[in-house]
Amino acid sequence: MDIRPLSECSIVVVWGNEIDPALTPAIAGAVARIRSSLAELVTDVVPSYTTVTVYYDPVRIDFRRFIIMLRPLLEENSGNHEPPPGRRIELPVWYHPDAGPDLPALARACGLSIDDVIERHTTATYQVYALGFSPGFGFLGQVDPTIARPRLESPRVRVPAGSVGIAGRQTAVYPSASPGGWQLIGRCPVRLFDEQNLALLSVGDQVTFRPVDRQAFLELGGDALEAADRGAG
Amino acid sequence: MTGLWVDNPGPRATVQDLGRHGYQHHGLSPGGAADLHAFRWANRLLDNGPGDACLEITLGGFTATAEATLRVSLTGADCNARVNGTAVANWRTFLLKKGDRIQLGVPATGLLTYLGVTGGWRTRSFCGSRSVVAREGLAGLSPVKAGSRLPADLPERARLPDRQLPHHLQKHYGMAPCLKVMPALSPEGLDPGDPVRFIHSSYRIGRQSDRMGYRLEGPALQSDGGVVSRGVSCGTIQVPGDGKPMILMNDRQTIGGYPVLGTVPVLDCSRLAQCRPGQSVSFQWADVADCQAERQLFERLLTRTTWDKHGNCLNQS
Repeated sequence: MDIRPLSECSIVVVWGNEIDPALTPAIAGAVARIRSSLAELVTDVVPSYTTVTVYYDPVRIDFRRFIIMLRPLLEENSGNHEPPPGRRIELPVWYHPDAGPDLPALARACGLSIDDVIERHTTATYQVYALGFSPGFGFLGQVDPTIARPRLESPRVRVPAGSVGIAGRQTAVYPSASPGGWQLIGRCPVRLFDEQNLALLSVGDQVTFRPVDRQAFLELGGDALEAADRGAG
Repeated sequence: MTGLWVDNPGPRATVQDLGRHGYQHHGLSPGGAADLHAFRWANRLLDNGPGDACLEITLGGFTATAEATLRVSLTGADCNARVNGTAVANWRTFLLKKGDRIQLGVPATGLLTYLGVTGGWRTRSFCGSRSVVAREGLAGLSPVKAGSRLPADLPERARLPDRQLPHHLQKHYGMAPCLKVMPALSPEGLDPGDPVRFIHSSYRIGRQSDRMGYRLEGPALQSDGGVVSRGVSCGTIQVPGDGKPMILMNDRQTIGGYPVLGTVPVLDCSRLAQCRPGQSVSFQWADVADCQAERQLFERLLTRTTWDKHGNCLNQS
């Protein structure tokens, strides 16, 4: 583990340089301990795949003293503030070319049927590695290597809210309409960000996808009207 | 309640405060005033709290009419402001009476002007901040439109005389700045010669620069294009695959996966935010301790600067 200043008001703690699901519990534990022990000094704690970035008020403490306070909180079992284990969240998805316009091309490129792609996407349990890109956008991994496909060469100007995409071995649900380059395979009716509860997902949560048909998608509150614009693969 | 009716917001005007802190792990961008220096003085001149909301006006062109008496301040880029046709100086406070029309021209230098009001503009607050991050599209948090009203709620406060910031504390934005950079100590994904190439080069601000990030045009660096995504700070210099450095600003995404060369401290980002596309910038190395000391001195100057009841500055720093 390595602790480095990122700026005059932030420190990054690095656990490794390769994505590794085994790091996530250590990262989630450190986040919980930092939040409860250094609340007075810290403005933001941002976990990601292999790091935690901690933002603090440089007017109240200098970086050397801050690192001295931070270091013991990074060791496991260093306090009584162990995080609750990641929650299990099941998200319904309408997998269909009308909802995920890249589904047929992605299946062809993988040499699989559409049903095979859906099965492989729904069999795995995904870990939330990071949130970012837009409010509530969770980066989930790892996707089965047989359905891992790169981002579109030319991103879409507008991806509809709820779209489910694949980029390499990551998958995600777009919480709101935005530009985006992930290959779209379906749509989820659940809101991943709202102003009352903020983000549905947290780093460390375990996510599975369950296939539903158009009717169930609509009954769960999905909006089937907005189509994604054409992307170029 | 009182307020200001906006006749014309100019090219872009958004309400900003110190930003939305504590919510980046939900993917919410912090936002906040891009020029912290001018923003903090706009509030200090009015005896406001440090985080009261100001209007951040881009490239002037703003006109508005007061609904009732308001005490306001103007700082940042000098837009040759006029009230009912009469010139008012920049970096100072003045009174707008009911029906008074304030009009900003286009600044000769600089980009951002801050219009503060006693008690701050009382637009919608979400997660403890009124800062607008237009890209996120949150309800009630969008750029100011023509015909809209900026609410103000003047607190009871002893009647203040007009105040001006002493000349030596005012900033002007004509010269090409040399910005400090705290180097990344092990810059993964970059050629080992890149930090040296970068620090000895001069760059131009690219056209695709905004509150999210400033693109730099100049000698390209050798980025291998990607590292595992991690948290990024205001001022973090990312190098995407095309080798053109990009300095992240207030409306940045919360994590980024491009190689990082170093970080520009917030007070130097304030200076960068006043630069326009096409302007030149250069860089110098700085260490974290120096940047923290400079920030502490800035805070000390803000708290120690006071004015007497006649509006004369008593600088006690």
